[in-house]
Amino acid sequence: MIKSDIEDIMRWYYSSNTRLAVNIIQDIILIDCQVIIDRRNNVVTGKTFILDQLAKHYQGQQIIVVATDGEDLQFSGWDNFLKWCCATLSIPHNTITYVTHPNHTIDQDLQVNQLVVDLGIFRSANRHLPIIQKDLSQAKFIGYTIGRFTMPRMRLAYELDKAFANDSYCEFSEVITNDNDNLCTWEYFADNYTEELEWFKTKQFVPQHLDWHAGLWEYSLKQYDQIWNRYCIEVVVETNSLTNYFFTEKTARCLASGKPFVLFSGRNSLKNLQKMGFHTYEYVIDESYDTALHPYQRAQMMVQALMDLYQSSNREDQIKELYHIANENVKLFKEYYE
Amino acid sequence: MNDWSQAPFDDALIFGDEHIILNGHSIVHRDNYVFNKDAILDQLAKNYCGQHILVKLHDGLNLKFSGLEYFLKHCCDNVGIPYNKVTFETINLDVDPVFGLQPMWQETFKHALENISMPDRNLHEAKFIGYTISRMTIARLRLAYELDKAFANDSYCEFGNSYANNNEYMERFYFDLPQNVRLKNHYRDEIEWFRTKEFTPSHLSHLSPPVGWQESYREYDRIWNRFQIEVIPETDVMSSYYFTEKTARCLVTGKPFVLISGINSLARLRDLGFKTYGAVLDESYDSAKNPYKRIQMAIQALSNLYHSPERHILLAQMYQTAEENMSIYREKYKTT
Repeated sequence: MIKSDIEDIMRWYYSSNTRLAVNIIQDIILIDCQVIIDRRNNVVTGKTFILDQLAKHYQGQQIIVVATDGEDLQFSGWDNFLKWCCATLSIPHNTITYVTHPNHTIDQDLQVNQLVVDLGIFRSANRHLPIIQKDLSQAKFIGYTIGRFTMPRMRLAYELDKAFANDSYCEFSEVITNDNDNLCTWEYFADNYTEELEWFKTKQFVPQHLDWHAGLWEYSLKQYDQIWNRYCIEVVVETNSLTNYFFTEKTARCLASGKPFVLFSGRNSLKNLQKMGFHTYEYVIDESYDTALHPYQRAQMMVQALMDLYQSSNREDQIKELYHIANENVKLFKEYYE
Repeated sequence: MNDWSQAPFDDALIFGDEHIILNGHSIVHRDNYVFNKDAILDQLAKNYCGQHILVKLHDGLNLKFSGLEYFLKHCCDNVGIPYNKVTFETINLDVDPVFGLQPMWQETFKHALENISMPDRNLHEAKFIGYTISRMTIARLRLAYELDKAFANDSYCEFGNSYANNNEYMERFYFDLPQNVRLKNHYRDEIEWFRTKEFTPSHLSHLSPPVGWQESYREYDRIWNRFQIEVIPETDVMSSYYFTEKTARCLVTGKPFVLISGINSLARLRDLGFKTYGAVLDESYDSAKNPYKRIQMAIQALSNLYHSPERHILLAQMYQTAEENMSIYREKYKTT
């Protein structure tokens, strides 16, 4: 199948206002990963449904797997599950096309085709970003904002607060409850996270300046001027802490507005940003955290790198250097999609 | 290792100086996915320092299709845990040999003799097939729907009271779950069938939780005479190793059956010494690679038998085989 055919199908699918897990469209089967991968918990739900539907309808069609909202196809178990489906239903791998983002490395055992589409949110960031009146005279050392709650995000927030309690700015939009998501059963881990949960319960969070109830990514950009001056370095807590190719408005707003950042995402995410042409801050901050094998280690290494900078006798000059690099990214970001 | 059995059941992860216990029931969902992966990875990354890891997969929790084995490899690769430090305590013998295995046997299967109520046999009013379903899964819905299409007038089925008393229960509490709602549209025919189906009043209390597997044995005499062949929708249709009271009650009471479970489950039963019904019924459904195909093939096999002019003779043969299974079961588990 050629690229333009797939793009036509994608356009039709998105305009149809029908978002189903498995879509039988003439001689195509389109699987929408946004519907079947729970991103909070990184799991593929409804595997038996999908297997049932494929078993019922598969007759040699081409299969398109759409994963354009940053779904993690490896850690979620999707790739593994698809291999299972291929084996049990005799689906040749080369009749499958993944529609994904740049730099998404596909499991080598899964010899599927790949159609790369732009990072949509990333591309439109400049349209939504307000003009920011920059004044860092009252800024804390670091700042971060967290919307959807996940375990790696709580880990990071907890470690950052231990290290920089008096010189950090944070906004959390969600409260941990045992029933806020039926897939996230915290009672089983209560003994493992007593300190973190206690910290979360007793932490006095700052009054929020972002309207989290708006919920949409556009607001994250439109309201960025509300918080930009409150910290020097942003700790970007990307959507997925295990993938290294999905950059959202969280990263885009830093690049587009000239805010220095450290990036909490999958392994080699900074490397992929560099491949896209952007500068990172390795001359000032130890960015070896980018190669950490798992989020726990990444959080530890990142906090240590920030601490080294924090305790440096040359800190003010180094932060100026960070802003110098960040300003170059502003230009690069404008040019990126032009 | 013996003291591991004393570990609290509700904690997902228990860390000791030499051992780590990972309780499968806290991380493997019955719908075949692993939840709380982030937390497990986080905890192993924080606390692993060379201990042995025992993964307790009791109650037949799925190891492969759930993705648990794959996920643990990811943890090992990224946290630096040697594979051979991980041991699965499971009924599934198909564990990747890079890991350790402590085989176990499904307890509910072994306890039929102590709990079963033997029926007074009288099959004069019996339908051709019968099946009972408690927890809803897509394979069970598929099975019930296809069986009803094929044998509507000659089948006996019981769904749990929640389903049988409220025809919209399944839709509301299964398909309308957030993780399933986008799949609902694919099952319009099946849902409509369920909505309009006249279910028989339930004779079994165990189909309505929290009543458990012991009642399934004790109450089996209430339905034993209502059908000639039981269609067993086993708990996990992706596992070839998990046999529960659903299979055991047929073996111990001499009820012929077809088995909807994982690939080669009948072969596994034969390996255990039991007889199956290949001489009468085409059992090639057992080698079907997915549940959908298995169900289609099982129904075709049943249909062939149903339409055979020698049906009564063939059914009698099945009951002879079933009688042999009674003796085999007694011999095998008499001391338990």
